[in-house]
Amino acid sequence: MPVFEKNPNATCVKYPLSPKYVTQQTMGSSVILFSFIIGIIVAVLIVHFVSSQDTTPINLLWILSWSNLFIAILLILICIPIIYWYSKLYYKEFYYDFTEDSVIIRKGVWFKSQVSFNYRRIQDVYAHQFPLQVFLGLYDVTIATAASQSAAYSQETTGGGLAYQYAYLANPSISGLNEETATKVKELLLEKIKNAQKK
Amino acid sequence: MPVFELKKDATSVKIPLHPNKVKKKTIESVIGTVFIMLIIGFAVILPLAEAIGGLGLICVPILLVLIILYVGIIYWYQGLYFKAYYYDVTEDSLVVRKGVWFRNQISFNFSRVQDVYVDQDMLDKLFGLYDVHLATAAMTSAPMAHIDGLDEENASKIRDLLLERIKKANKGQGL
Repeated sequence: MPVFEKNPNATCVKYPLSPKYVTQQTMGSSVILFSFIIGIIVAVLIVHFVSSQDTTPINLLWILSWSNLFIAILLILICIPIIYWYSKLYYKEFYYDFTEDSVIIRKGVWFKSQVSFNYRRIQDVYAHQFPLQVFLGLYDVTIATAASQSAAYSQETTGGGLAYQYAYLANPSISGLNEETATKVKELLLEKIKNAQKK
Repeated sequence: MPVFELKKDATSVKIPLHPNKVKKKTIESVIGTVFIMLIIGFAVILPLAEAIGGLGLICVPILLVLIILYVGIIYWYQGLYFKAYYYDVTEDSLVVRKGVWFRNQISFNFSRVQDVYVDQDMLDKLFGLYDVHLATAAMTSAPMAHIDGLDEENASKIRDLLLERIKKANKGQGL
């Protein structure tokens, strides 16, 4: 059996991610990317204003000129399909399986990583939704163990605030399930944990 | 049953949070910003308005209206947050859910619990509120498994309930 085995009866075949996951990732990544680009443009403009001795006001019409608009549209036309394609690959590569005694989650297109742990080691099970997911009707199911990876993350951010509140996002997660499958995955996990403790 | 189930006989219905929590959380999240707004108002806008004179003084009521509007919005949001707060102590597990736009739910088995905390900060003391929270060995659990804003009676009820369930869950494990 290979390291990255593909069990044909895996849980991810029975309860797959919603195809809307691709939409979720494309929209989310595009928003982040474009706010980043706009941020850079604003920063460049500010630096230009502060450093140049030129006191004439910048021509706002230049920013909205046809050539700039053309570049912006070209950027969008190139970026969005690439993000969409990558999300699609990620969606196809995503694999998880709830075996007899352990959870296996594998993700990544170019950098693959796989985590496996026993049900007895699971501490908490989370279900969460960020606003875009409320709109699309998708859920994330996240599993926390007592492992150093999640612990190290939250220790870094014990300064408080939002980062600490959402530190569990660093935990192994199954992102982009629809309502029905999310319920089933959560219930299945809780049941397996319960049974593992009885043994 | 949906992921974010709403049981009619959940613990959050039987042993509810105290409505004072909305006021407490509003004051807690507003106090710093209003203080800064007032400082800016008195140190910057007021002298500026006086310098301009006449119509410039209209800035003062505008600032006051903005502050009231801001407090109102926060109060409304905290009301929504209060309504969305859900927790349920079942036979063997705890479910806590919160959030209006970012919705989060944690579930874990009582055999996983490490500690039970009860605490009260300064504003809590003013309103007679208590926080009860649990932690498992996963460090991400502490800020999530948080039942925040109970009055004295309900806080002790929930603490006793939790301790009893934890004891039951750990029976026969030599703990």
